[in-house]
Amino acid sequence: MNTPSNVAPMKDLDPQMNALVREEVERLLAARSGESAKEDLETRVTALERRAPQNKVSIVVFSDEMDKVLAAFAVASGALAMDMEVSMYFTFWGLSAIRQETHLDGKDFRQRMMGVFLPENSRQMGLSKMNMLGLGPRMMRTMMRQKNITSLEEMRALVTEMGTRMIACTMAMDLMGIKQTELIPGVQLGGVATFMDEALNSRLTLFL
Amino acid sequence: MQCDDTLDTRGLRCPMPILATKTAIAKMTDGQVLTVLASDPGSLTDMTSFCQVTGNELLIAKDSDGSFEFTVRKNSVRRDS
Repeated sequence: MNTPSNVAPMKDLDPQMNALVREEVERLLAARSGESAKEDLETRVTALERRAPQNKVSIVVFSDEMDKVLAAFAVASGALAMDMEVSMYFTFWGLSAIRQETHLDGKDFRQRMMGVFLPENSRQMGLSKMNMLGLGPRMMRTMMRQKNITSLEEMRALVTEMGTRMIACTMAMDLMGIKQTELIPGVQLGGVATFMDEALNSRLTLFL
Repeated sequence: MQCDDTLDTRGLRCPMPILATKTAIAKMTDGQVLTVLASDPGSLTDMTSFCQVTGNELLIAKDSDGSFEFTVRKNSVRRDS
């Protein structure tokens, strides 16, 4: 029969969680024995494992400002480089960050108006400061090129390629009349529950 | 010391040196040594943190007048797990 000392500490669980599991093992083994106890244990361990944070970062991108979005992608790429999983959730104005084009047909009047006033694609996003009627971001992009800083689109392609889970908020898309065909390829559609599932399993959640 | 591979990230800005290092290390086997050349001043602290988190070993970090040279030994066993 198994004794508690035979139970190896599980990977990716913090010491507190490990202690909890061990306590549960001891309690159960004292109370019962045999196959049923083992099965019961496995179920409980799986439940605990699901609740333990994984090596994951989740980022909500809410803004359509180039500087903030660039920061989000830079953090994502850093996390990926350090062997963490990343999921990015794009909602409201943040959808512009993964927009590659804008179509106006098939939309109602207000949605068309939004299509006209919002950035046509990610390259048209403004700056949160010093936007200067669109001159600011152009100047910023030129300066970034001169300084050999990776552009937003390149960084986005990089994090997508490295396995970032990109999720577009369906509610915001529906509200603003944004179709999936207007977004870059590889984006999944999801709602708040999808994000919560990711966020609850993450060590770090950011809202930008 | 024997070096198995050299990576030149000079001219690249954050976060590219770290991403390139990760990609280069992924291709190596445990115990192999990678030399990274960098010019980004942030790479000194970045490389230290990168190694701390990923479990790879930072053997040498040289800063000679804004030009950096790092020697990293691959170790795929993470420290925090």
